[in-house]
Amino acid sequence: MTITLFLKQFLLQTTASALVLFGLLTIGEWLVPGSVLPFFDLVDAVLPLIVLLMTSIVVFAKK
Amino acid sequence: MRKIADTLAIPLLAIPWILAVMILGWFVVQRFPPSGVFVTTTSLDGSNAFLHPFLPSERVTPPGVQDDGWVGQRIIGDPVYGSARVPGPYEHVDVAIEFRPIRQPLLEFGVARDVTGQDLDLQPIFFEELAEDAWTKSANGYVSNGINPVHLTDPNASGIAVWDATTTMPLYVDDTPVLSDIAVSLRGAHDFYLVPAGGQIDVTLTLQDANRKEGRTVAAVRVFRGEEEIEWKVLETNASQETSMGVAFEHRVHIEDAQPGVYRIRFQADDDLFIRRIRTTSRRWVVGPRVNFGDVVGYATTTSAGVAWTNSRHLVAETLHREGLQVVRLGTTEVELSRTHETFRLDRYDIGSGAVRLSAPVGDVRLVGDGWFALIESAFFVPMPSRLTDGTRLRAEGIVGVVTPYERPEALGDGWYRAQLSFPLKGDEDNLRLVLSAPGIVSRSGAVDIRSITATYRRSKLDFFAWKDVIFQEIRNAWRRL
Repeated sequence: MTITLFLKQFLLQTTASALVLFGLLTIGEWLVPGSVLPFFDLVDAVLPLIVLLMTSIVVFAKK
Repeated sequence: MRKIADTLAIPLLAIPWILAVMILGWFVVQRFPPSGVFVTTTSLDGSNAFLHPFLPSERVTPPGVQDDGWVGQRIIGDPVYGSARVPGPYEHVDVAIEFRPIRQPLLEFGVARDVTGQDLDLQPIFFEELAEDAWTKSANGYVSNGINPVHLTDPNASGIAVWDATTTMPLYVDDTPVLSDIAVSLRGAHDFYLVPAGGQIDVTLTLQDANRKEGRTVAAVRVFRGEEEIEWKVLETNASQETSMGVAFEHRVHIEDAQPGVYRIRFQADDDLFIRRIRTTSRRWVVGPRVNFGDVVGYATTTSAGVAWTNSRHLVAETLHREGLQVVRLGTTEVELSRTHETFRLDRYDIGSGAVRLSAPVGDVRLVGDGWFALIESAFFVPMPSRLTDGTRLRAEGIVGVVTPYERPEALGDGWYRAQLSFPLKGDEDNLRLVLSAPGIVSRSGAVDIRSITATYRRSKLDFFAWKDVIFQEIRNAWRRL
């Protein structure tokens, strides 16, 4: 596997795992209020997630 | 082009997922700690997500740094409420509170068990006079030095006060019944204490729905012997559409083969329901610790004076109507109710523990005392020791013992104390409503400084099966919330 491909894959896996984690924590907080927010404000994660997502889209849209 | 081996690339690509699982696991462990203990501490600066500052804002200072430099919150009204977010299903919570009372002799802290804040689980945390060395701690409370602690368990003992505790019921009985029939105007909920006479309890209450609020009125009549509930009945007025005074009706409580002791009839109703007449065969009966002499608007054309005989040494009186502004007399002391919706104190420190006459010439006043009220002088008796209140002066009133679960708080210096309390939890609470009661704090211009609260939630240590049960409980709670 080339380094470039590896980095692309790494970015993809990082974005995917962060999105899944964010989704699970959001559902967890919705089902069990107070299980996530007192420890970590999910809103703070939105901007980094958007940056990750946009970067992934830009990287994978390039031919 | 440089390459990376697949044997290395695949584990490296798994790192984000491993991190995600670890973060998720960290949240799960926070929610279900295997030790069964979750501790959170606040300095009442408003930054803790599990313990929130006290409210309402007109009774407290803003949380954080105070004028004289310490961090916390100052309480200047009564009562105040805080809230605690419960971090999962736990069996009980231990609360440690660090406080500094200023001109405030009595403090209680607890949790509200219902949404309306009526059902309070209050525990004593401070009483100034009991902090002195002149008082010795015993199993049931405190006794003055030189007094045998057995005195606290003697149901016929005198010079005893109770504070957030129950005492042994005295086994009173009267042989011959005497019929008392008295016209009254008592408004809303009242507790009646009676001694059985002729082997029976026989009370008839004449009730009337004033229909000042819309809808029907529901009341409950519960009968206790000591602490044991032996009978209860729900009453409902049928005046759902009426706005005029309802028709008076009777409710009788009759217990044959009544055993010696003290029977308590708890009449639970809102202020729309009036008791207009009381008929009983008990020779000794009293009302208390709350008595509400209602107005007679729409019922009679002349005012009805509120007269009683009481052993209360400390009373608060309040009227809600301008017609109720008057001078209330308790023995030789008196207080003028000069404003509506404001409580006025009556304190007496005379020698002797007998009953004195209480009079409110125009009625229409609600009174809460530390003793009991007889509406007929000869019917007075003391069903149980008087309550300890913020106005109680133990030595001056001849009190030699206090039945209470109170534990002296730990002195931290500079007037600060640390009290430890424990409250049971049901396991399905999302939030706890904390209550700090400092009665009389406004009238004496007192304050209570709070600089730290630590909540330690506890449940048994979790093995796999216990873990499973806790998770199921959490799922049930989540389902209930949805």
